[in-house]
Amino acid sequence: MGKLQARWGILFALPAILGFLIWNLGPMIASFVISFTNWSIAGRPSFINFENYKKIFDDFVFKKSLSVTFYYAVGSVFVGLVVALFWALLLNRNIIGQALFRTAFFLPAITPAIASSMIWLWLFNPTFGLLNSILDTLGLPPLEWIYNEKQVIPSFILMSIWGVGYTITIFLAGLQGIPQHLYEAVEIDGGSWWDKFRHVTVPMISPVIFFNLVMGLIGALQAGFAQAYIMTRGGPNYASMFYSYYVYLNAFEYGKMGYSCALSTIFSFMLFGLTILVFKTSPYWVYYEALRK
Amino acid sequence: MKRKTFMLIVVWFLLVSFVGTAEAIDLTFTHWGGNLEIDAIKKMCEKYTKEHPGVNIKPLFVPWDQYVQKLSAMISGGTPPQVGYVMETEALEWAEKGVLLDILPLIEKESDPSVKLKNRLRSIWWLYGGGKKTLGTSVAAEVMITWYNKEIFDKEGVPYPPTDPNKWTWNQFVETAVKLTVDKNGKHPNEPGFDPTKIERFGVTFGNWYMVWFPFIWSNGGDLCDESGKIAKINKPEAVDALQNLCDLIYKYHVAPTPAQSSALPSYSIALQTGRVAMAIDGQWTLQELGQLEKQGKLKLGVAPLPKFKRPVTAVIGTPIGIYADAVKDSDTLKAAWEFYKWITNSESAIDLVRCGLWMPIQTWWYTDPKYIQKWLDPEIHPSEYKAAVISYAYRYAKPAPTYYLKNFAQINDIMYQELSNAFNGKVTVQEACNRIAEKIKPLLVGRYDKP
Repeated sequence: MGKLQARWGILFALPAILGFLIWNLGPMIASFVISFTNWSIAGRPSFINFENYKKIFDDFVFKKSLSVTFYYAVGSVFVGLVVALFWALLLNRNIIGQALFRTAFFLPAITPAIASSMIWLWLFNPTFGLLNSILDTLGLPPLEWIYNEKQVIPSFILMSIWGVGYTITIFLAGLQGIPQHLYEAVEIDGGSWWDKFRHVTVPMISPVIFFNLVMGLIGALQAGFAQAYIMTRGGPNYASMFYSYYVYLNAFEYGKMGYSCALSTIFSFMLFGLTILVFKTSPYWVYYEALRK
Repeated sequence: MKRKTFMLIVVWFLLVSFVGTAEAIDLTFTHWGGNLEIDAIKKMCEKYTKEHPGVNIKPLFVPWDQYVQKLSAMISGGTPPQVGYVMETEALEWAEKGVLLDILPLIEKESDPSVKLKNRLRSIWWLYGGGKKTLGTSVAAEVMITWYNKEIFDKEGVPYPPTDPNKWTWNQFVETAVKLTVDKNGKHPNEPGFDPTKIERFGVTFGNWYMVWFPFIWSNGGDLCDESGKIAKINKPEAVDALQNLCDLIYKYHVAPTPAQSSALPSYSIALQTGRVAMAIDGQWTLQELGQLEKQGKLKLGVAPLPKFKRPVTAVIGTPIGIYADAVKDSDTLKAAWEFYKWITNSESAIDLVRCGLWMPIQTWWYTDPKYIQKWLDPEIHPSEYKAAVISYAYRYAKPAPTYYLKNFAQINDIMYQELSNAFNGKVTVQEACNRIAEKIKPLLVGRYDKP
């Protein structure tokens, strides 16, 4: 009986497994192999061993795009987590229209990246944009937003916060799993809302924070392509040259597919290392109720 | 008996269909473009198929921003088109790698004059292999010119720009722009009390890209690099002065919008028509939209050459059409593809696109023979001074953009764009930006495709 169940289990999992092999693992291996060639999409590739990797270390755009991408990722993930947790706490309260509010906050997360880039392009417009109008009403000076190299990444971080719907939903699920008796225990001991938050809420949802942190970092480090492609072309002065956009430029505009694959491979190793790092530090701050001895 | 007849009929059908398909050759023609271009190309392919039994042209539209990806997938997948547009940034690289066919041997054996080297504008041939091979020409020869709104000139009492490119000097251009720029209080930039943050109408607008930079750099006697394509000259005084003059239009004379102000302007055609700008430095292809506004009576369009520093010159660009080598290995297919290639790159076949203002023709007789010039000009679309300001101007003074010959130009162009946008944002001087460009493009200047 067990064997039969195992067979059915594998059968049902087969589409996902095959999908991973064909459309994820296969291209990843291909990309790794191509990174050792000088293929330019057209014509025959020829192996040039580590040439591409040597060139990467002298490439000033590579270094700049790494720093831009990490700046954006760290900024958007940490600010995003704080904002998402704040909204999740509010959306967890039983008020009229709770479902409506939750939907409203989730909608931006499912807007296609290209569509939202077009909308934000108008919001950021220094002359006609809504954001500068708001600043004007508050008596503040207008900003240049994505046209200023120091303001462009903070502008994109603002844009990413608009789309924290997924994170909020995960936090909501985590918040609803916290047993009420723990809050009552704090009340009995004479604790305030801050004590509740610090000693019950945060530790109990720390697995969720951890999950959102890892997923958020992985996502944010690969993001930015639509914004760079549609809104800024990597400028001004490389200040929004996201790594994913630089990979695209090399592959499809400069005709350097081999170099582009090398860039992708290096980045994958970095992401992998970062994920391992976060996992390794997790026992020190993530509390799993289920693992209580 | 019934069964036998039935079998005979089936065999007859099979024979006919087999013979039929063995004769007809299918050619795929890939292209991009707006709605007008898609319709025009569809009609041209249908016309050719009808007139040439045995050949079936299938147009395949691929959006411009997916063109390279889709074509590379088709090529690697073994199903490349026979004939098709080629992305300018990849064309010469693909030709060198053998993806595109060198058509020089075919041209030499050919008797049709429309495809001969000397019968097409010199500036639009895509040469590689040290200049000994060619993948063909651009399908149109688009140059940069100055569009303007005649009504605004009339209102301000300013004379129209001259159509003689030797007479339209930079200083005159700046003076004209100053007289045409007004702020919300009706003041011009040279009047006291002028507010550069509240400009109602800009004298001129232009984009921040290579088709604007290069004509002015060349006009001032400078260039991106030397003739061999290996030594940078972009930071030398001639190039820097030209670009600095462009920058001065924004920050010194206040006649052109800053990049941030530009983003608030509508497209050039609407901006000209609504009077947000008086002049626009743009490509000839914009005539397609401007012409429609003219026909609706909304715009009194004028056209002039580009203003010059030391000598008149404009840049020319145009998408090449090439024959994809892997798809024409069979001699019958090659013959059919070559015939179609000659036809589609003969501007006569694309007369609709020429007359509506989108394409400029490529055979030389369109620029010299009055019969052809008459075929070209649509009086409802082409302004009366078009012949002098564009046709003669392009014929005599058009220089190919570096995409036609410089290796690594796509990357060099991106570097120039990033550095120059700092200058056009008013953050650094043009000299600083050009110094940084010269430094960064050193490893990329490896030579030209058309020189050994």
